[in-house]
Amino acid sequence: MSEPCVTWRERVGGMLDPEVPAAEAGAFIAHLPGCPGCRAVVEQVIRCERLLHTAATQAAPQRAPERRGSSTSTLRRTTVRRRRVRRVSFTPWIAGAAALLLVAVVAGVMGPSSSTTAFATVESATALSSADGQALRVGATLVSGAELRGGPAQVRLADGTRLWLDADSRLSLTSNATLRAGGGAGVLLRLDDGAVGVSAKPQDPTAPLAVQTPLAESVVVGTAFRVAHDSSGSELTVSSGTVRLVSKDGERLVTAGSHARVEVAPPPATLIASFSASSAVGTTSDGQPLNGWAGNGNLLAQPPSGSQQPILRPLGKGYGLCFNGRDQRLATSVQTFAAQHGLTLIALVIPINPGRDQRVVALNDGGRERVALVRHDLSPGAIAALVDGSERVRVEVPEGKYWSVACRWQADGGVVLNTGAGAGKRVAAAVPTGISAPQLTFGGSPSGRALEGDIIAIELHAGVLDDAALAARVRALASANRFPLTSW
Amino acid sequence: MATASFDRDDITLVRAALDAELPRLRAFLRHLLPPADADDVAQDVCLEVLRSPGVLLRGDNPGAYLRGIARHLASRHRRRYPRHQAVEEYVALSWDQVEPEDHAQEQAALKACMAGLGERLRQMLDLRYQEGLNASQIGERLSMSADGVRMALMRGRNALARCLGGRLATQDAERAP
Repeated sequence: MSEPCVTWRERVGGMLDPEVPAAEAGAFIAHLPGCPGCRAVVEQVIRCERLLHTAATQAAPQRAPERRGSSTSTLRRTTVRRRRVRRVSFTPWIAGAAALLLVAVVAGVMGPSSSTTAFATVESATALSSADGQALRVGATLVSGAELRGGPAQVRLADGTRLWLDADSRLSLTSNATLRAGGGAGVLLRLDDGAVGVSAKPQDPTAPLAVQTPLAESVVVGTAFRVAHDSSGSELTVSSGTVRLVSKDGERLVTAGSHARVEVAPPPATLIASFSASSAVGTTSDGQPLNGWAGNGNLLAQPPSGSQQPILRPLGKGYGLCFNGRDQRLATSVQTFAAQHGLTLIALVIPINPGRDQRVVALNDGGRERVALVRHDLSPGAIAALVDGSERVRVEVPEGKYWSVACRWQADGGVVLNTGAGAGKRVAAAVPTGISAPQLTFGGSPSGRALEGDIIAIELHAGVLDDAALAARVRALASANRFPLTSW
Repeated sequence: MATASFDRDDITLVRAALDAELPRLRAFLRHLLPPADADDVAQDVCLEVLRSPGVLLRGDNPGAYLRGIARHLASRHRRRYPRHQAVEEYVALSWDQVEPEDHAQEQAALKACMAGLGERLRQMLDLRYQEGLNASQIGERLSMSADGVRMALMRGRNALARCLGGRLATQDAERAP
């Protein structure tokens, strides 16, 4: 068992606590897929927690709440805050995207096969109306192309399939429609907002029931399920049977007891800076993929307006930017960029250049270098981490591979140096790796102090990644950060 | 305008199903979120289900269906409690995997393991899991720092997990043919 495993397993009971920030557990979680031993420990602790929670709730069982408006809900009495169920209006760009999709649906999917034959009946309704604002009452019959607004309501299709429409929903029903993914639907339900539950009768495999949202299509294979859609995405929860979900991410089968979500992609990031070098990769302080990078000479670094996921994420004070610069010119450009935008540049990740004793990154204490990661000329591709001039860890990094180093600040101002999670190999370590430095500072932080729990993750690359690897890496980063990539 | 009139039998059946599943649902949510938020989300799950009662009734795994909705609704709290998503996946997996008949045996093992802990640690675990207090609140009750409570709870969970693992493995071995 490696040293990180020992340390992590001692702390696993804390890292799984909901009060512990994600950053705390990031490195450990990333380590789990490759370590069956640690995974078993995690599963054991989670099992234990599940039992503790189960014991607690079984000791004081509570009844399900009455429907809204009733006064007998035990749960409601215990609830401190009540929130309105989310009804988010579409932001302009989302409305635009939805409109485009809707045009496609009307022109290519719903249009050609509309029918005037009644094929559905309203069984119950509250505040339900048609698209032209006409109130729909119990017993109203619906023809192909009908659009329902409002709810809650219950609708029965001709084949006995039942639909439960949530309040404030918008649903249209079309018979014999063509699906986006190809093939036909006996009945196509188009959900533009709200949620609909479906209990489907056995379907004709050549023309099944399908529920379409602006983001996905759920094709019934014979099941009960629920589809919800709002401005953040579409959600499918399957109660029994199987549903085929088709979206921009491809096609998959969602089975009973599972749920799947398709999220709205954010708008493209605004291009605000460019560099001559073409490689810039790294990781953020919380172990997430790099939040700013250069691709084809461009740096994407400005969060799009209204984005919920800024590209540059806060790192305690300031921001984290890690760059793998091919040359000093890129490093200088990044430093200038950071200064111009008031960002704290924490680490530059620079390829190891054989034959040169090059400082990779230094953390300073009032102008005095306390922690440094340097290349030694002991062997090609070796990196050593120094603390107060003494070597603490040395790793070998083969050409084209990488090694990660993380420094975690403690409450007393000390710092713990962790290395691992790379394709390199630790060849020497002087223990303990923890040091005490009450006034330790780093980079150009405005206040000059790191905060408790701050983690600086540094990725050390031996050699420059080849183009294919870099392209794959950037695609993964873009996907993880939900950015569309058009230039790769 | 027509009044909402879901089938009365459906509502009765759904309420019965929810009553049966609610303790486990609340426990699951408390595994994901602090207690106050967990109870809020549990209520929202019930209200969501009551909007589409037929789906729950026709499903063959109501617990998993409810947990699916619960995870969706709980995701709204991620900004406040940015727990690592992979942890949540492990938690959800744990709830999906365990068979109901194991519960009594597991609870008995838990009780035995709890009895082996120190009085103060047991008190902390009770405050955390039975009363749903966070580390700061437990610290105030016991005149300890929140960090001290977190550290003690961490050790307590680890010790309990080890003890449980041992006891359950022994029971499994004894049951094996």
